[in-house]
Order: sequence, then C-alpha cells, then structure tokens
Amino acid sequence: MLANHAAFHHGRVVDTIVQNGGDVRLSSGLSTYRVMLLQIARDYAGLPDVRTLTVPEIVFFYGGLRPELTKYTRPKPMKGRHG
Amino acid sequence: MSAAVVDLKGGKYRVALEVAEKEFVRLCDANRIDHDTSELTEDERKEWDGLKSEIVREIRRGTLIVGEDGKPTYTPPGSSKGYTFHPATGATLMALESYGSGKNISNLVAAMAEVTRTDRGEFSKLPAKDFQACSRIMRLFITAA
Repeated sequence: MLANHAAFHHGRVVDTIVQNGGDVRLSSGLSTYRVMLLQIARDYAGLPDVRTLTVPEIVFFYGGLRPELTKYTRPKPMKGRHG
Repeated sequence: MSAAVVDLKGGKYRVALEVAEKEFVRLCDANRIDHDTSELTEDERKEWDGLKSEIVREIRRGTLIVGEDGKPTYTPPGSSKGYTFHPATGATLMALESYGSGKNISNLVAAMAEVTRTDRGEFSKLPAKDFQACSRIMRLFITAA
C-alpha cells in the first residue's frame, strides 16, 4: 500500500463505501475503489477477472452489496455488564 | 478585456481560461471525480487548487486534450506521440501496490503505464516537466482512481 498515499491528492470521488451501517466518503479514490474491489472479489463467486473491471463496473457490483453491508456493519448496541 | 484574452494574444496559451476550466470539469465528471470543494479542509483545498491550476494550464497550452469521451491525452511539446489515460480498472488499483509501501513513485509509474497502456520504461525517458504533467493527471485519476 502506498505509504500514507503521500504521492496522491487527498481529493474525493463521488462514490461512497459502507461502514458502520452508513455511507462513508473516504479521502481518496484509491482508498474507495480498493475497498470496493476487495469486497466484490470476496462476495461474488462468478465475478469477471477483477483486473479488467472498470471503476463504474466495480461501483455497480458493490452497489448490489450495499443493503447487506449496511445491515451487517451496523454497530450493535452495547451490552451492559452483568454481575 | 478579460485576462484570458490578453494571454491568448500573448501567444502563451492556445485555449481561453474559461474554456479550459470547463474542460477540467468535464474531465472530472467523466472520471467520477468530485470537484466540489465545499467539504474540503483548508489544506485539502489548497492542494486541490494547486493540482487543478496546473492541469488547467496544460489544457490552455494545448498539451493536454480532453476527448469527447472524457479521456485526457497528454502530448509532450514537439512530440508526435501522446499518452492517452484510459479509465482506471482493477489492474490499475493493483498496479498501485506493485512495489510495496514507501515506493510511491515506482507505484505511480506502474499505474501510469497501466492506464496509458505503455511500457514503464517510456516514462523514465520523458523530460521531468512532461513526467510531472503525466503524474498530475494520474494523481487526479487516483483521487481519483
């Protein structure tokens, strides 16, 4: 991974990822699409070669996972201490 | 008379500032780059403005042309060969991690070679000024992708 993404601009892209049950905009496109690519590579068994996927395609496949990612990454309520 | 017109008369630029800025916005829109700076911090905005002004300057000089499909092509002055930056793919993201951490320039060149569909060695032969121009476009893409 690029150290602190130092060679890269800290601007943003229009796309968001799902974290903690909500949409989060990361600080760079590299971070955003890296997360998306790894997630879709893990979750779609019949995905085409990930090296050939364009950014709109990555976003498309990631979009299909949004509802379940939102559900499963939602923070769970803290349980109180017993005893 | 606007500053852009004065510059054009001086012969330094081929494209008016207003036109170049519109081309920059079109380049951003075609590549999913958020050009709204309202949510950026002051440092981020300075960095963005610096990158934007350099790219706009290349458009004004005529060395950087944004195609109808939003793909930018950089042609070094006096050269017949241009470098067209194709949309980033999964391979581009992987190329950015070719050499591990701490080797940002090597990773950047690997990604540039991937999106321009050229050999990595070609960038090592470019004059520094042209290499920097290409790397700025790549940085925008990675802000891009």
